[in-house]
Amino acid sequence: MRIVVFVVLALIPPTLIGSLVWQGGKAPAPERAAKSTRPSGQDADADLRALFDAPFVGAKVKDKVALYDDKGLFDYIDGAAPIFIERHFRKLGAAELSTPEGSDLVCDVYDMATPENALSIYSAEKSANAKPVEGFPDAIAGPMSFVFHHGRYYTKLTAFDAKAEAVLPAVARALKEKMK
Amino acid sequence: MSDGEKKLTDLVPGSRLRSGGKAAAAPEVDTDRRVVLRVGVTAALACGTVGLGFALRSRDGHGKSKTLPKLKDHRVDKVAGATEMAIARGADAAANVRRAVAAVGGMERFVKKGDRVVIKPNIGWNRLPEQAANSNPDVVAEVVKLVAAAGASKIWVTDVSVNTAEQCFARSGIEKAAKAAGATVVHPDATAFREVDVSGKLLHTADVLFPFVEADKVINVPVVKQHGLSGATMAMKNWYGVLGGQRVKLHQNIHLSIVDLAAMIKPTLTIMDATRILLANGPTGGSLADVKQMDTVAVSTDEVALDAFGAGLLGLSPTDVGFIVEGMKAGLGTMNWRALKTEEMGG
Amino acid sequence: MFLWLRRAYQLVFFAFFVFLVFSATSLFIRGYDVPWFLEIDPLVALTTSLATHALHHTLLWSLPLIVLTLVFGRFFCSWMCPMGVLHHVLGFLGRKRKVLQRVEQNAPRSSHKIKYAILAVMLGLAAAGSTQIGLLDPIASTWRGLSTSVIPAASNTAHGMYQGERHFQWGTLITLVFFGALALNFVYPRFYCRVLCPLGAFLGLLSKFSLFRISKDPSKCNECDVCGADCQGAADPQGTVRATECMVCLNCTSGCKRNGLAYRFLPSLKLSRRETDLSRRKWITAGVAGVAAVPLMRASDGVDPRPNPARIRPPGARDEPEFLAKCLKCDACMKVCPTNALQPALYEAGFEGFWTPILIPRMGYCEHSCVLCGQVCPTGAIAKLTVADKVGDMPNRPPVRIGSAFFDKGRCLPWGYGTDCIVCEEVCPTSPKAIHFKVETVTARDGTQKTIKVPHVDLDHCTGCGTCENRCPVVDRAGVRVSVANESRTPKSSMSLTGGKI
Repeated sequence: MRIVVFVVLALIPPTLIGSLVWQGGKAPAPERAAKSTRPSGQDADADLRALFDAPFVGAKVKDKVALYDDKGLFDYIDGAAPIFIERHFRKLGAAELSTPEGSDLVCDVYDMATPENALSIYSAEKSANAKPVEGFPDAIAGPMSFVFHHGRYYTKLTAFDAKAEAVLPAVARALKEKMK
Repeated sequence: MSDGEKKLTDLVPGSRLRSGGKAAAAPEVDTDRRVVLRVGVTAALACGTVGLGFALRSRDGHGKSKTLPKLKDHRVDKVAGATEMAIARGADAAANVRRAVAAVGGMERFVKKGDRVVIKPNIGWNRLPEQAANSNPDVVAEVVKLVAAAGASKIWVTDVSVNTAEQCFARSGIEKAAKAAGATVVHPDATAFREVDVSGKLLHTADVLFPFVEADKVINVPVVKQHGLSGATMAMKNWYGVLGGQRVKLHQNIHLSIVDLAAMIKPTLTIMDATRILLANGPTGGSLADVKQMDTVAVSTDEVALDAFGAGLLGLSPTDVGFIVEGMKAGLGTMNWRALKTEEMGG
Repeated sequence: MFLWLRRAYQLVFFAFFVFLVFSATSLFIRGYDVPWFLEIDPLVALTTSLATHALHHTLLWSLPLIVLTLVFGRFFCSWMCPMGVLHHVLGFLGRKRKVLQRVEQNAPRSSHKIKYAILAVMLGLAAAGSTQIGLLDPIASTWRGLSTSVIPAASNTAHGMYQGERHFQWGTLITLVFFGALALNFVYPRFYCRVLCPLGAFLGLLSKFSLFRISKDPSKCNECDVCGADCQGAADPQGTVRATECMVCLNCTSGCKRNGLAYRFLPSLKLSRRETDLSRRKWITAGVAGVAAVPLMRASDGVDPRPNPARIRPPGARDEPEFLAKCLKCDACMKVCPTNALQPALYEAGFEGFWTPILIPRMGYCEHSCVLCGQVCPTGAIAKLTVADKVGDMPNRPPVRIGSAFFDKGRCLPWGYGTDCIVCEEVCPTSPKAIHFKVETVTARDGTQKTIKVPHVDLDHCTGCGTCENRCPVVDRAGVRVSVANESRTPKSSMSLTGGKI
């Protein structure tokens, strides 16, 4: 009899605590950012690709536009992925562009599902020594980089030489025009 | 275990049972009845606690989904061919009231036997009757008498003053006059307000003094004054005085707020006191130099018309007064009071 | 062997408690029921339901524990309570060497009835609408000690590893109280549990009706006193066991070499003692004192009529009277707040609000799309908000406002010094931004003209998050400061006609 009681008592904490921990671990983190009201899926994918269509200020997509969802994001940006994922990041459209002068730059457009999420990741990633850009709200320019958010998109442009760096603002502006 | 020789009782006397050499007995067992009792009591407590817990449980509500009441429509049916506006002039203010009310059909047309009636004078300010900041006490008393004569079962006289209620009600002379005429005078306090649904253009909800929620008939008894912010304060603006809460916010958009208030309350009758009017430095007043003796009382169910008439007394053009224009646009009445079936009684 | 089971329970539940406290960060929280120990705390359920006349649904967890205590006695104190574990360990470390000295340490004392008086005072306070139980409740105290004292100190020492640099207003007070309580174990073991703990008192009262309890077989007892040497509850196992004090630690049953003590079903009432030793008169006096204290405290200000401008509550907080009836001062919200914005109040919320959470913008701002504080609040003093609720949908639905920003025109750089700054507008997180610019021309000291962007606050959009104050480059008192006016939880605080509520 004592054995039975002992076993029952011994099983209670693991069952109780185990189920609380397992249940809690399974559940998603409380919303840190607003969910999208748009249906995600092909519509949004198409929108994302369309941003890269046609050259803007002469820059063209070199190879193709790669799309990454939250499972594939680690492959592209590795340890930086969690901060996007916890903000309900939907999809990343990434492509390498080449300018008419032959310089290369990388263009990453993150579809964050809602403007709040885009602002959230923009604020989180902003570095202390980045400078705001005159005449371009919600954007910062650092050495070899230009980052801005508009609507539900968060865009990071990275240049590889001075010539590409010079055209980043223009590329950004052109992209922003296309973003509805 | 050698310490065992020295007993605890030497250190802490009386803290426990001393068996002291008594023949050790087997532990006593409770009787069956006692067992049942103990189990029963514990079980009852357990069930009681659980039951109470579930009965009291509440969820995270955001709680605001209750529907709020709207104010009643206190108007009576129009009578075809009846006088729509009556203006009485004369030195006897009470007589003016009687004649003007009689001209629009008599109080019996508006107040039925057994009705609970609230009379809303302007008692906003700690001023004497001569300073024309509040409604004339004689006019208020006469209205109370007419309503009583029509058979009302309850007559409230009240206002939410700007200054302290005790002082305003006393110095205006209205408390004494109304009580003498048989009314119940209500001093507002924090518990006297009810939240109502306004659904106006600007105002969604408001805290309103309870008699205006509970009465069957509502009678507006404003005084005619100039007003620093809105230009004038007469019939429509008098409804500011039913509000509690943060009513000063209405000043942020005064004309549209006045129209929302005048649409929220649909009074039975308006008896406008122009015995003494305040021409300048309103609504507070103070200097007798700003007061003009007009010896007039005007009665109507159309507040826009009465306000247009009052504006004229103040030397203003109704089209220059924002809330009159907006009130007419909102369909609350007409500023062309002369176009109504009007009866003027002089002398 | 049950002794080892009890030790295992202590270890496992303490580890679980620490796990939950550590999980209370934006990165680790997932869906864990972080305030679980507070939700099962019967005293929290009792006090808040007295103060609010309702039982918050998360606190239903306490009902099984109440039933189990009614049946099995005050086992919680030595099998599950995290504070209990700490005291047990420290008491063990601080115990005297000789058995007889330990017996004396663990003897019942008249001071052990003080906790019942404390319980009565707390219940009196709660009945009058003020929840102060968190000051002495062991679980709330442990939460508070870890969240605002121990973990920040450790994390800061390790260069901000785990949660970054964390600092709490007058946290040293919390440290002193927390460690002071622990240090009392060197007076005698489990001092706090025996003398001060109101939860122990409440569970003790429930144990009066327990069906299982420890009792002695007098025929086997030779009065050696060993059972009393390690008695956690000072329950006098060698005499008549005090049912209200016994924590079912089973040290006595294992310690007795003659198997004279056992945990039995319904031992005879003659073998146990159920009195608390607190006279009825003292119970009533204490309770009445608690009730009377509330209007006495509230005659001073801080709540009504004039809230302290610094009393900025977390987003989702209930209206102040309800908040004070529910807040346990457990500081879980301060722990989880990602920006270190929530701080323990000192005087800002009046006497009653001591150690309740307020937001201090210079310490941290309220992250625009974060709703974590409501997720961890055990009693619903801070309601669970969705992000959509919090950010609103202007112009249709206003956001949750915790206050409003006001410019100090003598300190703000554009206003006072005629130079561009733009930081507050840049960091303002609302959409559209509550801070907006008007371009103005100013004359510089040398006579030249220049145009600058001068910031203004649109009160209809400002949520009071404090990001502007937090980032304002005027380092001491900022050029733009948030105060509690216009907080949406208090209708009387509203300043604007927009929204149409009077």
